[in-house]
Parts: sequence; structure tokens; C-alpha cells
Amino acid sequence: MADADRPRLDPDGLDLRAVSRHLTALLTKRVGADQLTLVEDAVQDAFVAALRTWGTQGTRPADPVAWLYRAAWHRLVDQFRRVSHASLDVDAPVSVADPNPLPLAEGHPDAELRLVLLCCHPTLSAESQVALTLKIAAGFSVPEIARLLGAAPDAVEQRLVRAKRSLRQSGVGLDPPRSELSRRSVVALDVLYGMFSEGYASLTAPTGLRRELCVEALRLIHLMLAEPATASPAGHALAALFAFHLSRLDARFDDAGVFQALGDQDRQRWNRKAIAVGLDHLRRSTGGPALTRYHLEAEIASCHAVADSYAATDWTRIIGLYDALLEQWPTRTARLARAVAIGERDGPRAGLAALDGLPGSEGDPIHLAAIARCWERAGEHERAALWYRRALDAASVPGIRRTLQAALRRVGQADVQIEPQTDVGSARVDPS
Amino acid sequence: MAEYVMMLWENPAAFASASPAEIEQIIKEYVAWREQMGAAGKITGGKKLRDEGGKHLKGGTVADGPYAEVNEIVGGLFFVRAKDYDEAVAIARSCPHLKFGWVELREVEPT
Repeated sequence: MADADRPRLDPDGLDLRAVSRHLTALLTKRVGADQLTLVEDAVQDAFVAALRTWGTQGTRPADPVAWLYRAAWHRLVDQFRRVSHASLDVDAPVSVADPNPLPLAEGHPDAELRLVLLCCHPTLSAESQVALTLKIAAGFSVPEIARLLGAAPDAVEQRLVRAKRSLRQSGVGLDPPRSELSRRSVVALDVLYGMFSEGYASLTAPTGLRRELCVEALRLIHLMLAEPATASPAGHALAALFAFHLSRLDARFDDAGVFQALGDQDRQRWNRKAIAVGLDHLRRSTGGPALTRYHLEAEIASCHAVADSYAATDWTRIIGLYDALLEQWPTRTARLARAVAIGERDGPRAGLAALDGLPGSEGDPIHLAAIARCWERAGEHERAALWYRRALDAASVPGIRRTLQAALRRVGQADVQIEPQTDVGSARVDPS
Repeated sequence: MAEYVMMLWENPAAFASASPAEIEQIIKEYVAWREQMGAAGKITGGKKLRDEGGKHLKGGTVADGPYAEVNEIVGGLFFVRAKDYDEAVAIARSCPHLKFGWVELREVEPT
């Protein structure tokens, strides 16, 4: 065939990370959880083969996903023979030539859900559970995971290898006993909460990878909620929390890349659809036996989501919710947020008093900025400038630094320059 | 116009830890280059060689090779049409393959 007559390639619309998740889930389901490493290698090999083959031949197969599935299956069979000198022992007879490509387009929630629960096996440490979920269930690469977790790639690799070995040694199957489903689901919620926080709470503009991490956590929680055995009121609370946070994702940075604290955000930019989704989940989160931290955090987030303005926020209710949260889950962040809420309800002097009693302000730009903000609201611009300066000295994230520089200009420090923007993404998330 | 062959040398392990997103990106780049060069009549064809198998015949012996374990193998070929080596080099230089491998460029003896 003359080159010009070849079918044109259209690589758009093929999300390889999604394909990676699907293939890993399907192949693991087929050959067993103890072959996880071989499955991962086979999927990676198939991708590399696609890169080389499609690029060189200048043509993409009509059904690229089926092509990748076949290639991965082929490698898997090949590797299995090499490793064990035996043929692959699968529950269903499969022909190597035609492994009966399954309709992958719609995904395979059951197979993917099993992988999530596998990654959340109780023999693994919390860190390993997160790393493994990111790798196996979410489809991130080792260097990406290392970037996301702030760890060295070698360390992540080692952690994954150990985790998979530990799964293999304890003879873990893909189908956890029914009695264990709820326990694993609880762990899975923790893992997803951690994933989402990594992506969202980093205070860097959630571009690219971090944004994907939030979206991925949301996808996985929906996967769990869709299955009666893994759905729970706590899961709905977590999904509500995700939705409320995601509704504000695009308002957290203005067009100049300046981080916007909650009180400064343009509420017109909040995603109303996401808020509605969050409220719906919140409604379905009641009625369970346990009040989890997700419930309380989602309630707090909902107070903000439904307030017409920062001033009109129900601060009394928020303070009560923080009190309940701190009773069982005392964190520095929650204490700080409670003190800020007191300042909003009772005035800047009360806020300063509440902030004053808290340890750990040293080196925390958010804490220092909260104090500065109270002085600013009290009309004491010189003191405010002093604290904004301290916050700026402690801040390393460009988006936060710009916020503080803007604040300094606002309180009369006209010589302060705002750093140029380098780290803002433009893609939007559809959190429905 | 002369004919050239681009032999695509590469390290079989070059993408061992590339993420799906990165691979997706490289595929897009590769495919865009291939289309552009094909449409301009600069690349007249390309072949990917199979990763598995391969034989080395030397003297009277036939051995398996090359192995995937070696550092470099020829993974594929492009056929180039250019007026001289300068143009052929310019075409090869723009190929995304150079990001992960290297290219041996040879002119085909006219018949």
C-alpha cells in the first residue's frame, strides 16, 4: 500500500492510563493476584510495543485497546513460560492467538474494584497501601508516584516490590472473604483520603498530575459506592468531601496565579454542579452507625459551600463541628482552622487570642498569614505587614508567595513586587 | 532523488519506567511526525522488526539473537526519499526516535 493511502492515525481519545488500569485489572483477574508483577510488566511491554510499532508502521490498529490487550496477553504468556516453565494456569480457557478481547471501552468496575481492595490488604503498611493503589489501581508510574509522595523513585520502587512480595507470600487472593470486605473498605477510604489530600491540599496549584490525583480518588470512591458490598455511609461522606473541595478547585487560584484563601475566592467560580453532588452524598452519608472524620469534614466543607459569602458563613456551626473533630482527631490544621473561624465570628481580636494559644506557628506560612490577616482586619496595617513578612519568609510555594506579596501591597508595602506566574494549570475538572 | 534507510537503534529497556501518560505523548509525537513526513513524500515506508526471536547466522551455525537483554538492537526501519545526504540527515534529525535511541542512516545503492 502506498504510504499516502494508509489509514490516518488518530491517537487522540486514547487515555493510556485508563487503558493501563483496565488491562491490569482484567489480566490480574484472569491469572491471579500472585502474578501482579508479571501482569504489570506485560502491560508496560505492550505499551512500549505499541509506541514502536504504531510509530514505525505509521498506522494504528482499528481497535487499539484490543491490540494492547492482545500484546499484553502475549507477553504475559511468554513471561510465564520463561519464569515457571509451565503454561499459564487460568480459570477460563484462553487461546493465545485470540484472547477474546473484552469490550474495554466501558471499563470493568468489578475487576478494578478488586484491585483497589487488594492494594488495601491489612498486611501492608499504610504507606505501601497508598503507593500500591497509585501504581496498580490508579495507573501512575513509579517516577510519578515518587513526585506525588515526595519520595525517591528507588524508595518507591522498593516499597512496591516489598508490598507485592508480601501479598504473594501471604497467598492473598483477588476475592477477599465477605467478612473482610467492610474492613478493607475502611482502609480503602483512608487511602483515597490520603490520595486526594496529596493532590489537593499541597497548596501548589493543582496542575497536571496533582489534578489527576484528585480526579482519580474521586473515580475510585465512585467505584466503591456503586458496589453494595463496598458502599458505606462513610464512603458517601468522603465523596461529599471530595465534591465540595473540587467545586472550589478552580477558584483557589486567580488568573494571575495568586492563591486565593477561602474568604477571597470568587464564589461565582465555584462549580454548582459539584456542590449539588456533594450535598447529595452528604444526605446519603447519614444513618450509619459511626460518625467518622469524613462526616465532620464534609459537614464543615458543606457550610462553606452553601454560604452566599464568607461573612454569611455559619461560623458557630463550623466551630461546633471543629470541636467535635478535635475531640477525636486532634490535628494542627483543624486547630488552626477553628481559631480562624472564631476570628470570623467574634472579630479579629478574638481571632488573635485564639491563634495566640496555638503552638507551631513557627515556619508555617498559613498560620503566620492568619495572624497577619487578623491584624489587617483590626486596622493595624504595620503589625499586619510584619506578620505577612514573616509568612513570606516561611513560604516556598510560588502561589502562596504571590498571595502574601499581594497582601503586603494591600497593607501599604508598595515596594513589594509580585513574582511572575509559572505554575498554573488551565484544565478544568468535571467533578460529577 | 536518492533512497536512504534509517535504521532505528534503540535500547530495549528505554521505556521500562515511562508512565502511560508519557508513552501516550510520545506516540502522538511519533505519529504526527510520521504523517507529516509521509504526506511530504519524505518517508516512503517504515517497518517495525519483531522484538521476539531473530537469528544470527555465522559460518555454519545458526544462533538465536539478538536478545532483548542486549543494550542496543535495530528495532525498525524507515525508508527515506531525499536529494542528498544533507537532506536525509535533516529528515532523520527531526525524527522523535532520537529522543530514546539513535539512527544509522545509509544510502541505498541505485540499481
